[in-house]
Amino acid sequence: MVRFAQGRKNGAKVVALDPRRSETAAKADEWLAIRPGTDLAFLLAMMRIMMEEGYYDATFLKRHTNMPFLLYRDEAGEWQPLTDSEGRPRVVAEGTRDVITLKKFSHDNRENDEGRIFCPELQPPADLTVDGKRVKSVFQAQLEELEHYTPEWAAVSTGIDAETIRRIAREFGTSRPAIIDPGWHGARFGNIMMLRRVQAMIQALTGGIDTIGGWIQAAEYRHKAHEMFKAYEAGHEIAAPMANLAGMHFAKMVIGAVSNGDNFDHGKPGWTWAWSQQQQAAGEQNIALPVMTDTGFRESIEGKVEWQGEPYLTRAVIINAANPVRHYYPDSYWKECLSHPNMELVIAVDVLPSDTAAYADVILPNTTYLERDEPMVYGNGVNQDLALTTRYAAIPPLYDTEETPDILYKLTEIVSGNTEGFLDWIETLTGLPKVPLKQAWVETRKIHEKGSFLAASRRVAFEGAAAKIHRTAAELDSVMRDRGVYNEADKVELINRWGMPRKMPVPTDSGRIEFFSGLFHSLRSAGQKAPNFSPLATYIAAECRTGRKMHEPLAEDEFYFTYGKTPTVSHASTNSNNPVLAAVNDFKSDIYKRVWIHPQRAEALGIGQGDRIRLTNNLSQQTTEGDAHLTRLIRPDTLFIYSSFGVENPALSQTQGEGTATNKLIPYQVEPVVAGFKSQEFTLRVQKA
Amino acid sequence: MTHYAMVIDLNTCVGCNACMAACAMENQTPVWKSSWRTYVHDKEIGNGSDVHRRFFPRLCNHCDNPPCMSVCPTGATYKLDNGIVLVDEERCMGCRACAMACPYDARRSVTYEDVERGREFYGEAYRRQHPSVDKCTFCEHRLKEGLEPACVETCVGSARMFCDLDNPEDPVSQLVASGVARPLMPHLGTRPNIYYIDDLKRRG
Repeated sequence: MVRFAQGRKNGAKVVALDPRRSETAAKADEWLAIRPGTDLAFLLAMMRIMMEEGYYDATFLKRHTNMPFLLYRDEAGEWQPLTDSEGRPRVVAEGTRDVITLKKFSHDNRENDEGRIFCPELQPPADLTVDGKRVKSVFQAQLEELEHYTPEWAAVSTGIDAETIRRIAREFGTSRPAIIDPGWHGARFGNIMMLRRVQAMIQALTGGIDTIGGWIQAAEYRHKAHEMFKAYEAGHEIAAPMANLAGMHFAKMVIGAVSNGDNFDHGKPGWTWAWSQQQQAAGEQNIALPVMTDTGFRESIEGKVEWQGEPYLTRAVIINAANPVRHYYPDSYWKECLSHPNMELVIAVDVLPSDTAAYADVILPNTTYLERDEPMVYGNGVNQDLALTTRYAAIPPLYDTEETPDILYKLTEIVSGNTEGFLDWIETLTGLPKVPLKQAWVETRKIHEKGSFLAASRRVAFEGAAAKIHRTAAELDSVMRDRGVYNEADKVELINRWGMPRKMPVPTDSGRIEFFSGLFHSLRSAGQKAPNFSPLATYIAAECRTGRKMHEPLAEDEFYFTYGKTPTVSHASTNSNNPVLAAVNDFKSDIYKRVWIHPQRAEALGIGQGDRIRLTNNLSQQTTEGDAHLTRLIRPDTLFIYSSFGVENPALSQTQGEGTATNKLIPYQVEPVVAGFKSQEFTLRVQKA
Repeated sequence: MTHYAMVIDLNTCVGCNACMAACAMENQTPVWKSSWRTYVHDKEIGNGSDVHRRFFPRLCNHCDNPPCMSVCPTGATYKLDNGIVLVDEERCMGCRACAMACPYDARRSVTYEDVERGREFYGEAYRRQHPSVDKCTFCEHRLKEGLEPACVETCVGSARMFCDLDNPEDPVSQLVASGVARPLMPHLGTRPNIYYIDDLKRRG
């Protein structure tokens, strides 16, 4: 937000695409009230204009992306990379018909596999054939894919006229630096992942990756990638891969870890994988990469998930600092799962009596972030400067609470007794070495009645982090205590030395920025044929009404739906009963807690300001109530609700009963790549309550 | 001399209300009745479909010619040499004449009941001894310690900026001198010290 504000002060032009005038759209020079679910159409048209009219950084694309790589269509009509027998990519040298083989993994296409310097061609001759195959570059194949996505085509679904789309594409394409902020959420519509990919592609077209004013890689991520490449080059094993791998290498390691039963005592892969494989075998819709999702959760409780002919049951669950009953979709799914007869034990570790805690058999009260020293020293998250940070307790614990690491250790002792295995996993996941950790714990047990395992972790983490930067733990502690962070390197220096991909590979399969995605190509080759798995940018229409297009007229009482966050309520539970923030929300009750509806549509339905209304999902028939907030800051065809309200647990005295819970309207429906929620892919009908 | 003023850049106020929360905690205001020394309007402006959303922070304008001070029958409202307008809670009899005279809607009542509630809510740290009319002090207690007002320090959009108008080197006072930042209702002759940088530009 500070950077956004600074950009505004420096004169950046901001264009916001949003069906509603959000806090961000309120700060924009232009608010384009796009129809929900159609952002992808707008961006594909934009991408087409930029590629066709030359609004891209050609040198960047040639050198650091896979845009010049050659593709051919196989018998089935699928795009395949044209590689040599060792899987190395091939390109055409600029202005020639010479086909050159590149290194398999590299950040610079100017050098071939033998070290010869040349320049790759983005648009090789149209009649070029290699090994008897008609070939095109990724650039040409992508442009071909975009052929139908004209601004006139996008205007129909988005509701934004073609001339405006053309103008925005030109303004963006000819401004440097320029940046796309992709917005919040891996949910909303089935096309969300493709949308995020196209946003990244447009950013890459400008060459604005790891440049000042463009997308700057998080310093921690860059640092991990750098260390990882160094280790690969030296032929070293990567210690604690969960903590030290970056990018696709990390994703593939996680997929490998949870999909392989050998990694678990019980010999089964994660239930999400078991369920997806079972669904696939049955010819049903299945999730390609079911990592960190709840797909199959309900089925594993109901006894429907099987592994090698045996039932694979979930009978107990630990919910740590999460509030699925309020924030996952729908509320009924979680209420039913947590109170199912087969669910023998629900443990909630939380700081407040959340709506989920109400469904727990056991509540283990946890400290808030204000009351504890964190167990680790961390990288500074998405920050662009490389730094170390941690938290220091601001106040002693107010209540009878325990720390999460100590809770988890104790639970392991009770459940399986395999505490050695637990410590081994901690070493693998976080890099905290087991032997020093056990030694430190002997000491901290003497000092701390509670949280002694956390204190031991912190002690070892400080030693390890300090050794890496050639300081003592005491020095590191004193700097972080004083300034909050320990700064290691400034972003400009990092970009100059290890800019990705200009100075160093990016952690993709090929080391380049990939327009033709290696990951999606492999999923598609494994049989996933839905357009969601296209390796190139393509269109996936949102379908809020079965068989009907987004621009077709809605019924008189029918609306699209969208939701967003309030600045005053986080989605964790720590501040949802804060009396000061609750007072701010009361002050703006009409805006924050009511359902936004355009006065023109409200009038036709006889709905006035503040009227009680009933909302019903036309797809799932879920229904709930709210109060109408008549405002022209929303498209007439769309309703908006801030998703921060609708608390049900009376123990949350400041907020219970306020506003409308969005997850009483959102059904369980997911997209096929990672089970992202299609949390807006339906329509609602509205009537006076 | 020192002459305190605040500049608020409406172009970068993002409507997060952090100023409201920071001020409430810093100055121990009666949040239980949603009463604020500073608050942020969230307004819809414009005709038909040409509609804007504007966040507009408000607070006491610390006028050089403060009507609240002129009408105060007990002398409870007074002005410091540095421009800050304050209320002496012991001298205030709660008649609310000042609140009616203030064109900026910047004064709120704190009652006996609120003082009791405050002791409970803010605990031992609660400073107030008496009920009175209450208003922004520019966090005078913080200024004395070399700190900025709480709302300025917490402002995530760096929309709120604090300055000394008598210091020509102060970049914020230069904004005021440049004419780009303008006060509210100057025609009333109140000579206010809160300046706003406009966010609405003529288009088309």
